[in-house]
Amino acid sequence: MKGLKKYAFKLGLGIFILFIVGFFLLPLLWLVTAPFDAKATLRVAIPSKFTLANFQAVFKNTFAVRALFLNSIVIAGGTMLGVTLFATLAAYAISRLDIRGRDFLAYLLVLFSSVVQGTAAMVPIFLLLFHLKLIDTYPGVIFVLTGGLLPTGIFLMRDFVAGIPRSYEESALVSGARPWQVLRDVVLPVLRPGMMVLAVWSFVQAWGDFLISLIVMRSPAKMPAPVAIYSFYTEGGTPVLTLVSAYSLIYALPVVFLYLFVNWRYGFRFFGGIKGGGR
Amino acid sequence: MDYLYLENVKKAFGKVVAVDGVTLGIGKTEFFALLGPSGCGKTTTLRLIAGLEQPTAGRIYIDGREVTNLPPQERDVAMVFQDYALYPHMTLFENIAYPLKVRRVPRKQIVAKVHEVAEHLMITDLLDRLPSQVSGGQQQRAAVARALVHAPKVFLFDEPLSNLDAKLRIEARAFLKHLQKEVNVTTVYVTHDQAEAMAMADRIGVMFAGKVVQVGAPLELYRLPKTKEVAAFLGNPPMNIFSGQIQPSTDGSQFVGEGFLLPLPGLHIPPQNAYLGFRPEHAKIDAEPGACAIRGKIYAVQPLGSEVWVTLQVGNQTVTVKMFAEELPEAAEEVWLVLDPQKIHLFDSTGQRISLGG
Repeated sequence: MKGLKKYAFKLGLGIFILFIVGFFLLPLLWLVTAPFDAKATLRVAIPSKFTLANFQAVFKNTFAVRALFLNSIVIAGGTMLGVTLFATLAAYAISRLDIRGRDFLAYLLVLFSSVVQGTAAMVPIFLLLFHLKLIDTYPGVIFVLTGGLLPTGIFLMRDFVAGIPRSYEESALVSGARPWQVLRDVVLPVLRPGMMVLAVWSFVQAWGDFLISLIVMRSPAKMPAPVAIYSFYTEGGTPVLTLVSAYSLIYALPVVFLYLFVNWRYGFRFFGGIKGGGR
Repeated sequence: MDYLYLENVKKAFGKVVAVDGVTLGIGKTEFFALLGPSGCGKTTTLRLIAGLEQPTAGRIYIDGREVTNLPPQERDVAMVFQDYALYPHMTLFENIAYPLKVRRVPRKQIVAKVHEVAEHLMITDLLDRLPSQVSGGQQQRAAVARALVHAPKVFLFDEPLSNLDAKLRIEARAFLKHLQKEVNVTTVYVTHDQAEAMAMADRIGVMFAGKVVQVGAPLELYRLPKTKEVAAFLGNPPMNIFSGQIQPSTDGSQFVGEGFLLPLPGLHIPPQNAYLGFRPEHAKIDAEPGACAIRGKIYAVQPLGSEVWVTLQVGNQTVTVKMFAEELPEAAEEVWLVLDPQKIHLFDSTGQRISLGG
């Protein structure tokens, strides 16, 4: 009797886990099967008629191709560079200088970052960019995304920097290095794994952005992929599933490759920003 | 003129005074150890010499030139850090070459110089390895090589042996001492390990609470410590110290401690509250009382091979005696602790040495 109860519990748990796995796995399965199906529906199915025609059709849509391979790359790449550079320098300064209440400052920044990219800030951001004449420009989008991601980026990087002994820098200084040489030869190489994590993270965040681009960009030719995907909808507003899925798959690949590349080249060393403040 | 000179140097971090008016002169090619317990300001003093900290007051001179306000890279010193601070992304070669590289020494000369130093330190085979791929002792040698490579004016060592295990530490001690005499570079060596300072240094400066209390050759400090603190800090096992009063007696003085009375025949010292200290090797255990002896009870016997440490219960405290006896005393045995009145140390109530005259 007792064994049966235990067995039933295990069975129940197994079904529950299967359900959860399925919930997350099915959309992914759909994403890799539907693009190759001439008659894709919302069902996950082995393609009845295998085809690459969907991709051909997608590549004929120059607007969407330009959105993915130019606009999205520029926006996500620019944001990645900005966030990685500024978050590293800021985290380094915050960690190495004695600033009163720096932990409080860091938490405050993270709190604000959710506001910057939240819908509540859209009107002020639009007005700000309008007066800076940055509406409908790449820098406009990149600035807003960078500004929004920086606090969390600094927060992540801060603990990474704190984990690096000061004696590296001091040793270089005593060895005769100028401060910029210390930065170039010692600090940046030692921080590189952390910067890689930050770069991938910020690229992925910017790559997936929809709202900021939609608001800041005016001309269709500058829209990134998440906006351009709507060009695969019919005039009536229904998605053409074959094309949407093919486009989505292409859209997902750069992020996957980026992750694999960084993981292979540097290995992810995530020191985490949740270790608890201060040293 | 001293080669390295600190003139009334002070360093405060907020309200905490780490270095409190240190004046020190260190001669050219001298091996000078700064010894003290953790938090006494010895590492801060070293960092002040390196230029990693700016003094709150005072001046620092190296080779006749004032360096007080110069940044570290303009002082021409070299430092070996406690954690070695070898750059993890560079090979040992690149690490050792770094001080030359930032000085824009031609590549050919760098290669020659690094190999010369590496050979000296016996790490030539390891030059293309990363610091994480060599042992702690080898890392330490690489760190020393990096400090040595550009022929600095002053060598600074910040507890460089504290990350090595006990056996390696003894080896490294002899090695560093030998090396220093060979390259003849003025050296300041910071340590909290009195044995290390005694074994290696030409002179030692003992620091307590930000102040240099006494400077002298190792044996001088050992034989004539100026204060009770210095006396207690040097030597292993440390000096035994009683507190009590000095009183006059018929043939000199006597020392009255808690639960015992020690005659000090032939010594004429003004009566006062005082501390009496004696080194573990300057006492004997005997069945018969001598002229200067205290009754005690054996508390523990530690045979260490070449010597035996015997701990005695005297009054309400314990003292340790170092002996070379073949026959071990029995625990709980009642014995006499016999002292040599010429070899005891007396300190007044503030801890300053009382001269025994002579």
